[in-house]
Amino acid sequence: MGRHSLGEFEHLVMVAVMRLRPNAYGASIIEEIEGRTGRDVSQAAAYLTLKRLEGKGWIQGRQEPGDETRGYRERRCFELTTEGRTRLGRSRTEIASMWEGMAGEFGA
Amino acid sequence: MSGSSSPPRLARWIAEVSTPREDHAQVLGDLHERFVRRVASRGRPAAARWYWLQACGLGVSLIPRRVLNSIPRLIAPGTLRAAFRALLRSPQESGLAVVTLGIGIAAPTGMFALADGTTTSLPGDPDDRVVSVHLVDRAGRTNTTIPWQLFRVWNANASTSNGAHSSFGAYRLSDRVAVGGGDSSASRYRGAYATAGVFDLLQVRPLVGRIYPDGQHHGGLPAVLIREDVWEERFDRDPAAIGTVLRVDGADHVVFGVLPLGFGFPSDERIWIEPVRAETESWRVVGRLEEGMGSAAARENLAALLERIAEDEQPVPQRVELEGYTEAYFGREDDTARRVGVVSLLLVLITAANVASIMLARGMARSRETSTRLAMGASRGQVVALVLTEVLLLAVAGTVLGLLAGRLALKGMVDYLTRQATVIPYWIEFGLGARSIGIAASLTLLALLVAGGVPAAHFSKVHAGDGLRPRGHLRRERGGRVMATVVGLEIALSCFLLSLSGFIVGESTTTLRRGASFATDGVLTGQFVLERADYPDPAARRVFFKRLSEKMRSDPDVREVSLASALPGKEGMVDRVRVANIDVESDRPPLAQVRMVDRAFFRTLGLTVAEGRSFSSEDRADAPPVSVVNRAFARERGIDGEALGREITVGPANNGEALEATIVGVVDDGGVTPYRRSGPSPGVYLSIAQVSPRAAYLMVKAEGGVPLLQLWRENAASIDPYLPLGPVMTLEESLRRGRGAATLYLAVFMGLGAASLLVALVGLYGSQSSMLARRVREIGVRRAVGAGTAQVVGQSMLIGLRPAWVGLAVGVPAGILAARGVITATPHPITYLLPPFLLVGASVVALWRPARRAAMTDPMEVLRNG
Repeated sequence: MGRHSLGEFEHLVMVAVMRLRPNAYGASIIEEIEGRTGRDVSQAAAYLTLKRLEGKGWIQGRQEPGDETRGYRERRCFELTTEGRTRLGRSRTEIASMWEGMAGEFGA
Repeated sequence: MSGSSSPPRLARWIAEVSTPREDHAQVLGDLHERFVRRVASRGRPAAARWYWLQACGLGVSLIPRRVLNSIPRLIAPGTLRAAFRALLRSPQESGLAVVTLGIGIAAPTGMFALADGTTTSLPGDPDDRVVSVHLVDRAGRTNTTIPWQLFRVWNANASTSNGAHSSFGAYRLSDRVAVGGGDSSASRYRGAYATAGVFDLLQVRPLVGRIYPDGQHHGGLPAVLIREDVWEERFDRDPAAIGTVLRVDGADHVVFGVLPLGFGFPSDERIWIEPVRAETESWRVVGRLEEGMGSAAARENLAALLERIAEDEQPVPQRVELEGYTEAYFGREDDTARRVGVVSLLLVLITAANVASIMLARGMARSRETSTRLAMGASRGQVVALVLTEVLLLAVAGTVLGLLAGRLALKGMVDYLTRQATVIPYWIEFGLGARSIGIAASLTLLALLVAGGVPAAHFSKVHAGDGLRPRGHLRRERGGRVMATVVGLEIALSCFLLSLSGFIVGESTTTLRRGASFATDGVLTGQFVLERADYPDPAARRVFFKRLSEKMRSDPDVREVSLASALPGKEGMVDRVRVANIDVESDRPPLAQVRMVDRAFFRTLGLTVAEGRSFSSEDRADAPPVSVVNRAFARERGIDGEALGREITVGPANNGEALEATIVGVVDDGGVTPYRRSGPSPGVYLSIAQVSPRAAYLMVKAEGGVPLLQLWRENAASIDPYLPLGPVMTLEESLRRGRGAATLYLAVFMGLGAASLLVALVGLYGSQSSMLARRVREIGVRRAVGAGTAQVVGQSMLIGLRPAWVGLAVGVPAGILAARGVITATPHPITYLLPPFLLVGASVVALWRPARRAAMTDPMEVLRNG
C-alpha cells in the first residue's frame, strides 16, 4: 500500500466520516462501522487510522466541546477534504469496476 | 459521576500513558462514551472487560511507536554511535547476546501465540455469551449430554419466562458424515446434527438458501446445510444446489442452505443435518445469555431458571452448570498451557540473567575505559546511558530475531498439527498477532530491566581515579561477586528448567514408547460406517462384514483379513466391566477397554494367546457370548492364572443393556490403547460375530506389491455401491497420526529444555572468558613460578565451574520438587541424572577454550607489561 492508495479499513472509515457529517468523531465512526459491517473495531485501530488519514490530508479535524457522556472531554470531529473526496471516489470506482458483471457469483 | 459508570482506573491510566498528550481528550472521551453505553447495555463487568481490552490494545499499538519516536530525543546521537561502536568492538559477545535474546524471546512468543489461539472467542461473540449447558448429579459427576425432552422444555420455557431472551440449540456430533448423490461420488465430511437454534444463537447467515426451520415445519425430506467448501467441491458453487437431494448418513436429505467457510460449529464441521429421530439420543446443549445484563449475572439467572424447569421434568434433582463454550471446548483440566507458560517465563529470566552477565563481564573488562571517561569529565548519567543504549540495541536486534524465529516455530507447529490430521477449531487462527507481539515487547522490557539494570548499577559506582592508576593497582576488583551471583542464578534457573523439562519429556517418552507392541508390518486399515437406515440391525451388519471379509480373503495374495471395532493402539470404547465373584462390593466396577474383534484379529497382529483359546467359528450370534481378556485385565482384577471360565458383565451401555460373557482366553497386552501412564490398559475383547458394532475397521495383510487399495474399493463397491470409503492407510501411519499431539508436546518441552541449556552455556562461556581474561596477570605470575599448562587449565576450569556447582545444588532439587507436582508417572532413574550430567558436561566444553587460552599466557609478556 503506497501513500496514495486507500486500504480497506481506511475506505470504511472515510465512508463513515462522509455518512456521519457533521458529527463524525471517533466513537460515532466506530459504532457506525460496527453496526453496518458487524465487525469489531478497536479504539486503537480507529485512532491510528484517523491519525494517518489526517496526516495524508484526506480528512481534517476540528475540536468541539464534549458533554457529560464523555466526561466533558472535547471531541474531535472530522470531515473529508477535497482531496479525500477525490481519493474515496476513485477507490469506489475501482472496486465497482472490479465487480462489474459478477453480481451472480454469490447468488445475489 | 457515580463510581459504577467510571472506567477501571488502572486501565484508564494505561490508555492515558499510551496516547500522546494532545490526543488525550479525543481518545479517552471516545472510550468513556462507549464505556457508558456498554454499562447500560451489557452491565458493568462486561463493560470493564471491554475497556481493559481497548486500553491494552492502545498500549500494545501505541507505546512501541512512542518509545521508538522518543529514542532520538532521549539518546544523544553521540551516545548511540558510541554504543554501536562498542558493540562492534566485541562482535563475539554482542552476537552471543543477540542470539540468546532471540532464543529467549522466540520460544515464549511462539508458545504464547499457540496458547493464545485457544483463548479466542467465537466470531460475533466477544463477550463469551455462548455457553455450554451441563448437568451435574448429586455425586458431582458432570454430564455434558442432555436428554432431548429436557432440551425441548428448556427451549420452550427459558426464552419467555423471567423476561429473559436466552436462546438455545442442541447438537450431536456424528462420526464423519457420509455423503452420496449430487454430481460427485460418495465422500465423507465432518458433520453434526444440529437444531436451527444453534445457527440462530451463533448469528450465522447462509450465503445462499436458508437455515431449516425448527421442528420439521417444512415437510418432506429432512434438511441439510453444507459449508461453502462442500458447495464448491460438489456443486461448483452453483446456486441450484439448493433443493438438491443428497444421501447423508444413509438417508435422503434436501439441501437447504450454504453456510460460509468461516463457520464450522462445533469444531470444524462441514455439514449440518436436521435432527429427525431426536428423542432416542442425548444432545449437547448450547445457549446464548441474554443481552443487557452482565455475563456472570446472566449465567446465574439462567442456571437457576433451567434448574427449576429440570426439577419438574426429572425425578432425580440435578444441578445445572453453564460454562463458556470455548472454555468448555478446551476443558479446564488441561494444564498444558500453564506448564508451557511457567517454563517460558523461566526461559526469559535465564535469558535476561545471561545478557546481564555478558554485559557485566564486558563492562568489567572495560572498567579502565569507563573510569577514564569519568576522569575526563563524563557524568555518571552519561556512562549509565551508554550501557543502557548498548543493552537497548542488543534488545532490539534480539527481538527482531526472536520474532522471526518465533514466527517460524509457530508455523512449524501448526503445519505439524495439520499434517497429523488434528482438528483445529474454526474460530482459531494461529498467528503472531498484536497480542503476541505485545508479549514479545513485554518480555524484551523485562529482559532489558534485568539485563540493563545490573550492569548500570555496577558502573554507577566506578571511580574516576581507577583508570589513572597503573595496571594491577585497581582499588579493588569490582563486580566479581555480582557477576558470580548472576551467573550462579542463571545456572540454577537453567538446572531447574532442565530438570523440569527432563521429567516432562521422560514422562511423555515413556508413554509414547509403550506404543505398538504388536506387528504392524504390511497391515492396511480403513473404517466402514454402516448407517442406521441401511443397516438397521446387527444381522444386516454381520452379513456385510462377513461378505467383505470373504471377498478380500479370496485374493490369493492376501494373507490375513481381520475386523475390529477400534484399531489397536488407538482410543476405543471404554466401559465398566464386572467380574463375577470379584467386583461384588462396588456399585461402579473399574473401567476397561472393550473391543469387538473377529477370530483373525490376534493372528493378524501377532498377539499370543497365553491361556485358553482365541475366538472360533463356533462363537456365532446364537451361541453363548464369550470373551477374551488381556493380561493387564487379569492382573488388575487379581485373576491372573485363573481367569478362564469366569463370567464378566460389560456395561450397561447407553441403551441400558448389559452384556454377559464367559472368559475363554487370555492374550498379550498391546492390542488396546497403549497411552495409559501407569502401564498397559486392561482390555476385554468380545466376538464381532456376537456383538456387531455400527462401525468397524478392516485390517488386511498382504504380500508386497498387491494393488490392495483398488481391490478394497472394488470389493466394498460390489457389496454396497453407496457406501463411502473413508481414508485407507497403513496401520503404522494411523498410529503415527494418533500420537501427533503427544509428540508435539514432547517436542515443545525438548525444545524449551534445549534452549535453556544453550542459553546457560552461552552465558557461562561469555562470563568465564571475560573473567579469565581479567586474571591474565595472576595466571602469568603462576606460569613464571613454574605452573604447567595442565595445572593452569585445571585450576581455571575449577574456578569456572563454581557457579555451576552452586546452580546444580539449588536448581536440581528445586526442579525435582516442582516436577513431582506436575507429572504423575514414576520417572526413570536416568531422568534424575541426565540434567546435572548434561549441564556439567556442557559447562566443561564451554570453559575449555577460555581456560586453554589463559594457559597459553606468556609469563614474560605479562611481567614486562605489568
